[in-house]
Amino acid sequence: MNRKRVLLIDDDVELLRQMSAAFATAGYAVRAAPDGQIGMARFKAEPVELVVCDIIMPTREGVETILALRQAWPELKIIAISGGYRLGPAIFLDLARHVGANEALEKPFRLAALVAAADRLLGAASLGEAS
Amino acid sequence: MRHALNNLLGKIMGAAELALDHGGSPEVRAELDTIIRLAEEGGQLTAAAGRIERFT
Repeated sequence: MNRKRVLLIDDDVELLRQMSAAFATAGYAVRAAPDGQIGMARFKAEPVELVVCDIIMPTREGVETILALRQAWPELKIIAISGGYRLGPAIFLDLARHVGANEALEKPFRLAALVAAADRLLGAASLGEAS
Repeated sequence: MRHALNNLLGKIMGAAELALDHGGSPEVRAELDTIIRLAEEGGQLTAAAGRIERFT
């Protein structure tokens, strides 16, 4: 059976570890990257069905990364995550949706909520392919 | 500041969730649930503080 593949992009090493553990426990094959630039390179080298992308990152931030992913891979599922900055997370997540994120979660969120959103998106994608 | 606090609360919540995956006594699990709930309340507070900040 093929495992669903997810690429996690976040500059926070601890959160990256936690999200990796949660997705691995849920049966996903997990790739991780500490910023958008490395994330794009990893995606090109080894495409996945789902990308989880933080917004505020030091090298190639999330909105730019999501925009590039969406333009190149229209069918890819993308979840944006953010703790916000001076303006709060909602504004960044609205922007992420506008440029192509399928879902957006404000930090702090439950890991279970993130995995559920991923399952929902990929489940919907599988149903779409079958019909 | 709010960004850092939201990130911190998320990681506290995440660590407690992952610990729950490893089982533990009912007492320990109840305390982990409390940590998750309190971190969520912290997130609601930072969101409320942000809304107030935008109007002041």
